[in-house]
Amino acid sequence: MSRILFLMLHPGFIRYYEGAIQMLAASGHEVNLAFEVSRDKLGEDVTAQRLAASSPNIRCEPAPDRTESVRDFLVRSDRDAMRTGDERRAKSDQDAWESLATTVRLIEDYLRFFEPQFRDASTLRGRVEKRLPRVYPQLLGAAARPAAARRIMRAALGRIEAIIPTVDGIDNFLRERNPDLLLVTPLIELGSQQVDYVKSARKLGIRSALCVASWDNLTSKGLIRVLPDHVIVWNEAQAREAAALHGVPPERVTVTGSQTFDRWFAMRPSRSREDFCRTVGLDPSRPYLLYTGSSVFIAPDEVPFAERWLTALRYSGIPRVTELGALIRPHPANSRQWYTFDSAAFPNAAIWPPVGTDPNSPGFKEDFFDSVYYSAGVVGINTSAQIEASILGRPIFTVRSPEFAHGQEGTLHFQYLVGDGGVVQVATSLAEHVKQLDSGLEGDPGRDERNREFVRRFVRPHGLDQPATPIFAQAVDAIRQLGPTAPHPDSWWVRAARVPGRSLADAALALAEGRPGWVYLMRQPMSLAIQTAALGYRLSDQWQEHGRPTIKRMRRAAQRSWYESSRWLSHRWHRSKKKLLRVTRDARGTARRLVRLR
Amino acid sequence: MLLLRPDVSQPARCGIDLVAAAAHARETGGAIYLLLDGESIPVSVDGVPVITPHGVHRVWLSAVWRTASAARDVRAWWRHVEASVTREWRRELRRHIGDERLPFELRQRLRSTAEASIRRVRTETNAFPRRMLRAPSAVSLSPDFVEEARSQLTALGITDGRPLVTFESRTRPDIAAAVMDFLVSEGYAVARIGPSTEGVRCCDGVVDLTTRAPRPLSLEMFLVSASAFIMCESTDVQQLAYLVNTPSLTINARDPFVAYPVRTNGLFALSAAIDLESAQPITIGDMLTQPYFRDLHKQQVRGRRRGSHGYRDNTVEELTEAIKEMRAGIADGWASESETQSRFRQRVVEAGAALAPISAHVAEWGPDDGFIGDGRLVRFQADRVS
Repeated sequence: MSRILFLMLHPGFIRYYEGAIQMLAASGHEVNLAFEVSRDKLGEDVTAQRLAASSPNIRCEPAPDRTESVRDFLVRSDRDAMRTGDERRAKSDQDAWESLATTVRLIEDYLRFFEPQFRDASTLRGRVEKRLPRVYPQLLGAAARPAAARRIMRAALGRIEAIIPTVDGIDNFLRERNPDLLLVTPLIELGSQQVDYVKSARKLGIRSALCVASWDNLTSKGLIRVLPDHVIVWNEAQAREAAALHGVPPERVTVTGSQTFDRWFAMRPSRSREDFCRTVGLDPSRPYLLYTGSSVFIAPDEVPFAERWLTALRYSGIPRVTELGALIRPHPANSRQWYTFDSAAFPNAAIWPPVGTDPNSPGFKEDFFDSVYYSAGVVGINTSAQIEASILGRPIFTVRSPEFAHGQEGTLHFQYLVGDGGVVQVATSLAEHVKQLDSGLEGDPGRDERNREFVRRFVRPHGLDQPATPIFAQAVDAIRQLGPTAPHPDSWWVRAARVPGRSLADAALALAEGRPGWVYLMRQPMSLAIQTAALGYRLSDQWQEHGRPTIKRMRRAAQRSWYESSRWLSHRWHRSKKKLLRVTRDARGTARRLVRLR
Repeated sequence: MLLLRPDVSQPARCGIDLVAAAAHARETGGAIYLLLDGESIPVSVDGVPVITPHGVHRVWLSAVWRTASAARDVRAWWRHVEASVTREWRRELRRHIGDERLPFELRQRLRSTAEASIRRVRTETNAFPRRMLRAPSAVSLSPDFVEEARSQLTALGITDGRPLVTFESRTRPDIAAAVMDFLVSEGYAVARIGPSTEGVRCCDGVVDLTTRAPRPLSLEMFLVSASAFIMCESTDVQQLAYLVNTPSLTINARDPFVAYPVRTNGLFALSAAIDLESAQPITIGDMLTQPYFRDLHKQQVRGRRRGSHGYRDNTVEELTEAIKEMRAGIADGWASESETQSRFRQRVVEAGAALAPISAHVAEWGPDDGFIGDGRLVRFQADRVS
């Protein structure tokens, strides 16, 4: 039995690989899932539990804790965060190296968005810029514009990445699990720490592979900073992206298709159209359009646009368009804003599923399938639901809108939908969109062929009748059979460079706070002053607690001894005086008696 | 002598500057010297000479302005540096405050020092001069300009026959269209200004100026001054109305302090705010609390994509009701303020006084020495609050 360790950022990534993991487990592989971050916002933990319960060969566990996670790193540079007591825990070597690693990786991600392909992607660049401590964008913003400067900087950053040591906890974790193959996803998150797993695997001679989870992963996020031994992608377009944008040698890339969408080929509607329309609140006698919501990055404020879109439909003056029903499906991770949408204001319009529905609830996937299946067409800004609609052969539309420019023209993956070979009809205004709807909702054999070609190229490159899940599982098994790689222990120059590199790490740790330079200069004298003041307080406390009571006790003891000794002396004096008086009296009496006798 | 260099690209700022300058000049008995870079502002102020200098005089005054501006910039920079240093100083102190190894008394001392320093910074806010804007402004447009602007508007289709309403809103297209229809049915001509919104139908009697760019400030100023009242969503247009003494109805307001009208002839209606965590609408009373403003601040100033609150625009019924109240107010000289409206004003003043020390936003936009404004919240909402 072979062991596969699948490292995921959080359990939400299971949905991309659930079928493949089950298939690997069923064929006798022991699949161990490790999650860097626990997350239950959309019921991801339930998915993990359900998957673990489905086979004894599947195990889910948290990945080793990091001393300074990317989140910790980001929080430290948040100027408004109200935190106290940073002084409590002394920063360790590990903290410093992890800060340096996150800094280097974020800078690499930042530099990538200066490349000519990303000239319209200012929002993507801004997203990295916000995460970087402010000193770096100030320094690099202008310097990174010439391509030669970027090349030099990237080379330097690569060298620094090489001297950052692997994390002991991860090395031990990999040694304990001793996998035949390490799978990692997504690896390309901004400043991702999953790179450390690839580095550790390389050092220990464990074969590693990156599984590219989604269609935008290689273009809208960070870089693959340390190349794993293999990269598994959906299609040829991603294979080209891996080579051109991430420098992955083509021989390391395996194309499997998108296993995520396999169920869309096999599913059938869960109920009749009439039942579905009645459930969601639409008129079953009329066709409807499905509006699919986009993610928060693409469409942070989507409701006003949807309202304008609905108004344009209702007042289009084209009977066929005016009478269309409208079903709105919010993006599961961007649904809260739809609480402000008043569907009652628009006749024959509804939101389904209701906002806040748990994506793991029974019937959630079936509802989505039915929504697309029974729709006359699908509209969206830029979302994977448009790929799903293409699988079901629905006409797909989008409208270019200035408020979503960053999520449409500002992303490369949007071009797959609207560029050559794309399946989405794009309009530059709502008026044009309405005309497209009028003509585009008719059955069009040319469109069906375009959809099929897109799906074959983008979703199932091995053939429309070839599910991607078994191909993915076979690809993983084939990679595993290649056996371990040669271990790559640190070379002498890397070990030597770590000595000066440690200063760099300390600087990265300090600069991660994003403070002005004078703060760092002031910090030591200020700490010294506070410690001196603390010493004063402590001495005062000691004086109050011990010194004063001791003096008081001594004074009392002295007073008491004085008092007692004086009493004793007085007593003795009195007794001696009495005795003397008695003796004197006796002597006098004796003397008197003697005189009398004489 | 009062030098003024209005920024015509910011109508609101420009309007407020002119009104404030006029008030100040009348008080001090001086003249206003207008230093204009491009577009002229055709205004006159009753009792105050408005002079547009030329030649050497202009060069000299420009130099004086530049010197004063530089001094002001230096002062602003210094205040910024001081505030930044104070904030960093506080952060640095806070690093030690939580250190339990330090004596308790010392930590207490550090805490009080940190809080005292930040309080000093918080108090330095340029408050919106509500009291100064309270009296109707003495500014009027020059007759030549009025003639020219009137002929421009006639060419655009706005004739003298019907009273005019200037409408500026990014509300839902169907609501905007319904409200404009209502205004036209009530006998008004409507001029729509502001950013262009796709999908808004304009019926007869509505002139859509949103697609005409660029629109000179002077034209907007004339539109606002010639209107029976304005319906607006942005603070810019509301503040422009202060300049020309036009009644204003502010709609879809999200912030009761910013939107609260200074003059008696101002009305405003608040959006329906919804707590996106619980999906429940929040009351107007909740819109006067610190958590609400903290969230608003995060959205507006810190650029968070989504706050904890979402908003629903005022409905057609609400806006129709508000328009009726506006008409009634204009007709009766704003004499009929309800008990609930004056109670709400008092409540805003009290909330402002309580929040100003802890919220820079409220300190800037809230009550000016106990005065929030003579305007009012629309009656149906004020009734709901009570």
